[in-house]
Amino acid sequence: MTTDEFRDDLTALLPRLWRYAMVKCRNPDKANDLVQATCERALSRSHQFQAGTRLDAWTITIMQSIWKNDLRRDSIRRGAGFVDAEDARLVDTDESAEGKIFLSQVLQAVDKLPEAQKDAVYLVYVQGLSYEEAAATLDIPAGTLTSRLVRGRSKIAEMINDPSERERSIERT
Amino acid sequence: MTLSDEKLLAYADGLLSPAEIADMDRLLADDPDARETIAALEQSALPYREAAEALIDVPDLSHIADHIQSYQPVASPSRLSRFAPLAASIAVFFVVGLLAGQHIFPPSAPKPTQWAVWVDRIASYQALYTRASVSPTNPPDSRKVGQMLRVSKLLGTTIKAPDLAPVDADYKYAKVFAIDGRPLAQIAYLPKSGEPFSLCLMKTDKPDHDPKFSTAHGVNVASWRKGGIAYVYVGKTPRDMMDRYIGAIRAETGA
Repeated sequence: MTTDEFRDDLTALLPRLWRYAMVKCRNPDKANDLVQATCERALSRSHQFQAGTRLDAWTITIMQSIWKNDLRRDSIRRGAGFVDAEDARLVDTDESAEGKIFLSQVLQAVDKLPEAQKDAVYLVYVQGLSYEEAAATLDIPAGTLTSRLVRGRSKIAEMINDPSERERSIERT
Repeated sequence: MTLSDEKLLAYADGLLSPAEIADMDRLLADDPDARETIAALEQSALPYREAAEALIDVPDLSHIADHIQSYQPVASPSRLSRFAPLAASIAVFFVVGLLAGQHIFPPSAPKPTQWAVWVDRIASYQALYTRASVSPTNPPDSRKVGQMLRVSKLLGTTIKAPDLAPVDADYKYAKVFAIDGRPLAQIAYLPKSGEPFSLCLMKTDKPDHDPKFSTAHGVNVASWRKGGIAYVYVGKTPRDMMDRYIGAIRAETGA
């Protein structure tokens, strides 16, 4: 892969990177920073990318690493505080079309999962990574990944079947 | 339960060969816990990617694209420091999401049952598809056969994926989504040129009718019913090509 091809392919990935960054950051400014940092690192390490492998999986792995290491470096623990509710806006809900309401419910169900399960579901069913690729991206064994997927999807099934379960899930998380 | 999560997932996600599916069916017959898990996986076969693409808006990212194109390697990693403020306010973003959930997402919607609503929903998904959404590589035959076995099982009748190669469109995949608790199969095709299209199928107890054409969400739609199956063709396909593909589908399947 030439440098130009690498840059073009990375540019084409931007919408997907941005959506995943939004899922993680829930804030456009921070998602922008995460995407920018990811691209910066991908460019600086482009010589390490192996032709014939998936650039999307490789780049998402970089994003995951930046996210995880940044969390570790700053010793931010879950439960330590909250982002502003307005910053947490993920989707525009002004759209009232029935189809979008259903899609909102789907995304909402994913959103209610614990972070580990949400990452697994997002990487496999939104980003289209294989089980093995998603496990490598998250730096976990494939068996752990599939267990998270099964648990996550079982919870989603509960939420889809019983809307009140969504509320209980909120309280549990 | 003796079956691994990986096997159960691969079964539900249509990744097994026909022989592996037969093995699984035999094992599932004696494993009620595993059957319960499969039921949950089938109920949660939802249009996740379509939801993310439809609902998470992407802003103008040309500033990042420009940076990628003009990037010059530098020794200092100082740019990463721009990322530092991120961590300071990460803190349980999804917990906040849950708290704010009632504002982020609308409350549960009434369950639609009308045929027109169903067709509209399919069209809204298909509007998101481009050639880049579909792999240029064709799946192996064993994958295709396995996926169609799953479709047939979930719809409760034998479904054959129409071979559209003679009209220059390749089979890409078949998925089964749970829509309002009912299985909806999507068989995706990529033509040699133009945008991908899908043939969607759902069980129905309504009488047969010939294709009716419409447009929704910028997508051309044709819907018909035959033999207890409701068919919907959806795609950004010019009408003349659409007639060609639908003609081939009906000739191949008797639909």
